[in-house]
Amino acid sequence: MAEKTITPSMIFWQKFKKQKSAVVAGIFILLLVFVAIFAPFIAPYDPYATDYSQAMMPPSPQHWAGTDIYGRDILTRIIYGTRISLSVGISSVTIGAIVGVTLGLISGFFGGFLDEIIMRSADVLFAFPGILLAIAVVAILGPGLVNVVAAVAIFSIPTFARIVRSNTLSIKESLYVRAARSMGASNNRIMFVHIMPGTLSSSIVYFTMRIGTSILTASSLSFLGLGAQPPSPEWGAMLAESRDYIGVADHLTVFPGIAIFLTVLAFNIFGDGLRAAFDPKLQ
Amino acid sequence: MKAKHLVLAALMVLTIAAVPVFAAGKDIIYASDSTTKTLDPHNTSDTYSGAIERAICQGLLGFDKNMNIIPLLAESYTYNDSATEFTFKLRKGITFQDGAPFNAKAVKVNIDRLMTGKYVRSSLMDPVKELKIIDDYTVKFLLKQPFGAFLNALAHPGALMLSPAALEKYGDDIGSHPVGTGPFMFQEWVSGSYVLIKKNPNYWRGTVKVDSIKFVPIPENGSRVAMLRAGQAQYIYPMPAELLKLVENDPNIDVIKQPSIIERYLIFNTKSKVLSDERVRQAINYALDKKAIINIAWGGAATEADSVFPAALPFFKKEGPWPYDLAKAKELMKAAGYPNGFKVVFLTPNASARLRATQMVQQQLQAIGITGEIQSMDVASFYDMLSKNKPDTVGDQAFIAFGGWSSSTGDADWATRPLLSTEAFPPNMSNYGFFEDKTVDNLIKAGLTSADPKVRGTAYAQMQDYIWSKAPWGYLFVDTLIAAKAKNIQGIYPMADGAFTVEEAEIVQ
Repeated sequence: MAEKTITPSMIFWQKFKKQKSAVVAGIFILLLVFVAIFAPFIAPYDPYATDYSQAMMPPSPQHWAGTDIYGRDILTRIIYGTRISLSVGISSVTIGAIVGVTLGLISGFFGGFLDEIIMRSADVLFAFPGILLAIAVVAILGPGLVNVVAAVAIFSIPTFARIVRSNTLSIKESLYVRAARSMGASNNRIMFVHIMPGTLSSSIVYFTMRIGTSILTASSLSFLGLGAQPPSPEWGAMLAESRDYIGVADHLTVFPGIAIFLTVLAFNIFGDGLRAAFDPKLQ
Repeated sequence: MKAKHLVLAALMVLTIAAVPVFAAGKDIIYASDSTTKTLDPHNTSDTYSGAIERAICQGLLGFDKNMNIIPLLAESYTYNDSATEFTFKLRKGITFQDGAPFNAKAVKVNIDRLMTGKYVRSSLMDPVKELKIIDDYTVKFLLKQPFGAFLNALAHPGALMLSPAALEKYGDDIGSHPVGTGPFMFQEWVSGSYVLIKKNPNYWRGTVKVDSIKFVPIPENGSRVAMLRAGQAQYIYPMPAELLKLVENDPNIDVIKQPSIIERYLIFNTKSKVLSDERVRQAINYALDKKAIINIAWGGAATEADSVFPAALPFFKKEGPWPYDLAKAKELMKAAGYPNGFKVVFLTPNASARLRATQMVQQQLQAIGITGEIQSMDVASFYDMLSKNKPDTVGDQAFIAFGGWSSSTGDADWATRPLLSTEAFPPNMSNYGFFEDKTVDNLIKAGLTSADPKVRGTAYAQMQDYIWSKAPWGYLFVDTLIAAKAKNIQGIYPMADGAFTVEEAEIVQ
């Protein structure tokens, strides 16, 4: 009888499979990514083409989600908006993660003065509610999507730094790290090759959930007129554009609203599933 | 136990007793998108505060609801041909709400206060050299130079008469304690929350038919409409055009529409290379589908602009509307040397209707190759940015900005001079496009050299002919004001400048 090897990724998959809602959320996210990449092939219309004679049409077989005030197809704009939301969400969190993880490693590994500086700066950032900090950053840098990415990235940094620091503190005392050190490994090697992989599981969970928050923040900023500028089909900007018509033409706000809601929800549920699957205490 | 019952019974009696009191009260709640900034007429720069002041105070002259000048505290007036001397006979037997008599001395106190130059509306008295008291009920204004629009200056809310006794008592704090001769007396102002005015029982023009009016700021469009529908407000202004469908079929609500003196236009930076060319500016005018912009961006609540100022102002001459003709637009762009267009920046306040209109301009100008990003910002930053431009450097950025203007004196002079004359370059006044034309400057002067409507009319007719074809602006439209009210409210009228009059307000059954 051949003995079957059980790898950690198999354990992970076994546990993750049990989280039915997380699997569904994962599939939905894959679908979003697919839609974002192939938007021009999927979308039935041009997201910027106006047709004043078709303005504010309710959902119909020609326009599944209706048309907006300029007669643009709302479904098409939501599809193109997926690109914007996903890229803003993923890029801002990635930047925040790279900086935050590095700072967390340095802080936890070296301790002392460096640790104090990094952690106290993180405390300062923590003192602001996320959206307020983002508004402040955009107010300084000026409105626009790139600045929104910067703003969201900045307020993702401290959490990553804290998570990684606490993991680093425990891992750096473990036997294999001490072994590596006694064999003469450099600080950089120990930090990035021996310690960092051990901190990744909790970072990944936070990373996923953070994407949802970032999409929401970016949409909020666009809703306030600080993010994507018209005629960009960003979801928050679409909401802002149509809020004057609530009660008269509800489909203008309902569909972009649903898009934001489902996307953020999916990332949160998926993140929850990952957490459960990574947690060694949960079986 | 017994005590509890007694309290309950007492409460019930009180409640029942209170109901008829409320039902008999004739109180109106007026909800608006604006907030009261001050109630000192001489120091007021916004239409809304000015309109509330008009319910409390009156001027020598005033406007009727169609913006025609009518004598109010003055009985009659005369002026000389060269528009340098204006004599007013005052009405006798009028007292201010605090009992102070209204006479020539009271007028002098008010005009002298304005002439100190310390107040926002001091500029109204800029042309005045001196105010002479001829007798107790006659005053004469001597002007430094001819100023044909002077009657309008006196009808402006900035020239309302305050009680001299109150001015002495409160000084510049009069803004929170205004006392005038009007149909309503000031009662209470809770900053940011409401202004309450109460009927003046001794009003000289007759009985005021409601007990009080409360002015409440409700900036959010949807909430304002909801308040009216729920009976929490009896009159709302503005009624958002996008939401008209919600109230049009309501049997308890009336919608009031009124042509305004608010003109909307695109400010062209005429100092930039591309927009300095008259043909380009004309081409843009041909390329704008004004009807579509009105219907979509403005909810249909406007009419196409047909001159540099709106038809509701005196001396208006119909020139347009400018036809929508893409072929002609392309031809002109080609003649000007831009067959493939060029890049500009679109500037706009981020108020949603204005942002929508600018977006549509952006969409439509693509057809003649003019493209560019929209920069939207809050209203204050928008005007701040425009007024910081300097004539020698502004040309570097070709911008098209969404502008609007309401001539608050109700006169043609104030609809043109601050916007298109060379003296009006920012920061002095509002010629944000730096339009510079000697002929226009001269015609503007000609319009002021007489108070004779015939002489002025000729000058303004020539001016409108000339400016229209020069296309310093992209002419868009003139707002239609929309208010909505409970069916049983009568006598509150929106005025063409966005203000309102409540003197004749009444509640009918």
